[in-house]
Amino acid sequence: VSAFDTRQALAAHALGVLPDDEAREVEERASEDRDLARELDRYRATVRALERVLPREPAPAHLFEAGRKVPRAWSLPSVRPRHLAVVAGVAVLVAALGVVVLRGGGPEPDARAELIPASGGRVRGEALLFDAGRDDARLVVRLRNVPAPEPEHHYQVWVLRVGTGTPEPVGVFSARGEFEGEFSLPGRGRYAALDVSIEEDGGEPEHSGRSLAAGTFT
Amino acid sequence: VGSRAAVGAALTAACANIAAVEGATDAPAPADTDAALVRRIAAGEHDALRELYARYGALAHSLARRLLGDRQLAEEVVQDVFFTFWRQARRYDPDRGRVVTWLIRLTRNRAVEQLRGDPPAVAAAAAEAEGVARAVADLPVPQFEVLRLAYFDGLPPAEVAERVGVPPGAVQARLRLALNGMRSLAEPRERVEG
Repeated sequence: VSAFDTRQALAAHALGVLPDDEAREVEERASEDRDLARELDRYRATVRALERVLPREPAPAHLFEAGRKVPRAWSLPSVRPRHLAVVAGVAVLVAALGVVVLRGGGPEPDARAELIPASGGRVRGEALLFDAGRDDARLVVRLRNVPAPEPEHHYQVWVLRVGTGTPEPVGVFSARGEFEGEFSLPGRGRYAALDVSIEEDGGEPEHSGRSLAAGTFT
Repeated sequence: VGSRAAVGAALTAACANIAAVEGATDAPAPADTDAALVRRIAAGEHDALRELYARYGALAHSLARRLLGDRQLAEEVVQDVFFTFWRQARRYDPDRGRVVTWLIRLTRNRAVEQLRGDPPAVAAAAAEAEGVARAVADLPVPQFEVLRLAYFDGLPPAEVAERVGVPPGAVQARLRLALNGMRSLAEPRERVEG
């Protein structure tokens, strides 16, 4: 490491990102050269000032990693309106990062629904129900030809249990083209049908009455 | 038709403009400036949102974490902020400020909304954190890029060099420039006596 290289490496050393051998060499040179030592101290002070305010952590990739589910608490009907936007945000970013939740090679679904346009459009797809007899029942929704949501709108998935007339929300997403996502269901039960509605961001936690696609489980 | 009827009668209504929206989102994708990214996001390009998150997600998360002191809340704020970008990208006006400034202000505001406590203290902490975040964001793009990878991701110069496509020596030089550019953060603050 030449004197010039040492000086260039000071900032990286103050940031603690030099490999050990290079860091040792910079320390040795700085211990022998007051100018280098002063410059290093200056960089360290700046790094400390940064660290005092901005924690050194990478962007949390796990928020958007493949397979991440919409948290159950956010999928229930009691979801607070404020969190609706957050949930939608998760789903948008999940979709944005090309997340695909696949069950390739997994168990057979307990029920399947063909999803067809509720009122025109070319959207098509299917919904697969897994572990419907357990509390951690899951739903996989696959759609193609999904139109981009209207501005400030997103899509919401609803299910209808046998013997009830009230749709239950299970999660939200935003996507264009193809979408595949896994949602937690409200719990065990016999699910009769599924609907994908078009909802306004931050709107009331009720079905808007506008549907993108729907289908019944068989 | 039967399956549609089973659900449709209770739940469905027409979605007349789906086709129009569907056909309006195929924008070209070259740009690498923040403003161009936001234009692509406004056009519905998910990749552009991903790129924006890669660029500023760590800064936003760090700022939120500092203000909230809670990882879970900070993550919620970051999700909310980027979702807001997704929804409101078409409202962005470059004449009113830089994208990253918008992002930092949005993150600060969202975080402050979550905070409880003495309002002046919250405001002071938020102002300080926002000021430091903006000092980082105001670095020239090449310096910001290498600092982001070294500071938040902890990558050594050789790895940063691979990511940004410059020699390791250039990375070290940019880090020096970046820290020199932020020297004022470490300088003692002048006391203003009234």
